[in-house]
Amino acid sequence: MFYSSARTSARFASFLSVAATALLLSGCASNRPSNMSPEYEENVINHTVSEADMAAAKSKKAIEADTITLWVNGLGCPLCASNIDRQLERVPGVQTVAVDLSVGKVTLGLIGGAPHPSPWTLGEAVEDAGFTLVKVEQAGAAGATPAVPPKP
Amino acid sequence: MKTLSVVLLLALASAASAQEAMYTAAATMPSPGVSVVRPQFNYLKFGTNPEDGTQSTDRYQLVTSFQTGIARAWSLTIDFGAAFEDSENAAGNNHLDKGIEDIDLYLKYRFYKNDTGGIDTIRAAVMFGAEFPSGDDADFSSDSVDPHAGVVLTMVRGRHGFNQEIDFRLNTNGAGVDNNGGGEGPSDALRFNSAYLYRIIPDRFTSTSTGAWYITAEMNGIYETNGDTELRWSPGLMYEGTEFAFELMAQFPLYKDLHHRAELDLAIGVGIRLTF
Repeated sequence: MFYSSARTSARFASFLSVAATALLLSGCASNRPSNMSPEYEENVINHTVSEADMAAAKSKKAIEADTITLWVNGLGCPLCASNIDRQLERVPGVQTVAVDLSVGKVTLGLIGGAPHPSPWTLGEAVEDAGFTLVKVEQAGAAGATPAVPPKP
Repeated sequence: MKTLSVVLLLALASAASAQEAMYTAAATMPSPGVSVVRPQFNYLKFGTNPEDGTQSTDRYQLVTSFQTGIARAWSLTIDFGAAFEDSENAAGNNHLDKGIEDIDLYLKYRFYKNDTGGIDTIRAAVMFGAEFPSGDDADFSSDSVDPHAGVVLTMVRGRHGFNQEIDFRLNTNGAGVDNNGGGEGPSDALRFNSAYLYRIIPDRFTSTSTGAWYITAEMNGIYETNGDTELRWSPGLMYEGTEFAFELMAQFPLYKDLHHRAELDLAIGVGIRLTF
């Protein structure tokens, strides 16, 4: 009787957990205000990237500025930030790494007066970390554009 | 008087990666030179075993997974575990056992990656390796090298994450092995797991976000070539930071067609992941 009671309890708990999860997920889905776009609610981030941007991201010419912004795809979680941190910090010439998950951006501080890496080298480090470099912007570069957040 | 039997159980712990629920692998991995340690403590309660007449079994197991990135898109994982088991036979006598189960060693290779947005990605990886004998007796070890191979698909879009895993294990011996939990032999085993992760906090990452809470929901299935089939439902909760993660889950039976081993009544697990 004890064991059938335990199985019954397990089945009931299983039903409750399924029901509770379904209610929670339906509540999360329905919490989106009616004037919010689905992309905003789902936290979709799309970078605006041109062919020129993609070509620049593969350049093997050393970066001139001491601060550079990398626009990266695939940064889906906090642990992802840790992976990309570690790979970029190993690149000679990189002094600081700051990851912004809200827009998929990584800001690098390069060592002043020391040889700077190229976008291609940084792109390889980003690939090693498991992500994709789509755009490189040097500080003060003309035409620098941020990621386009979806409209709320 | 209840006598505790300690049985060493090696559960196939999933590779320790980002966006990964407790019992379903993900097509993610640490980058080269980065390692993740993932100890998990599980309590499992099993019912009647139709083969040996055991009435009930309580199992307490500690499984540790160590995964390291060895090259771009490659990782190596070793899983090892110990367990303590308290079982009661048909006569009402209790038996206590403990030991060390076989060691699982496998590679993971990500052969496909398409990062479609700042957060979004679709990835696929293959896993292949083998379990090696621990040297313990049949209660804990199959005393054979058992290869396994599988494929896993991961998709992340905004707050939603999906993982699909299928893995086949060839048990080359396993006769007489304690097969509570399934897949340890002597029959070959096909595991099929699905996981859904939903980021509940924050609703949107900010420039200073360093952690996130997820609810997880898994369906964990196993089919053995002796005909035993089992499907389990596993809701959970996970916190993922930049250097560590914490996970908590419960597992309940959804479907059972078992004739050769005990069925699971309930499982509760807790674990952490540490990156270094």
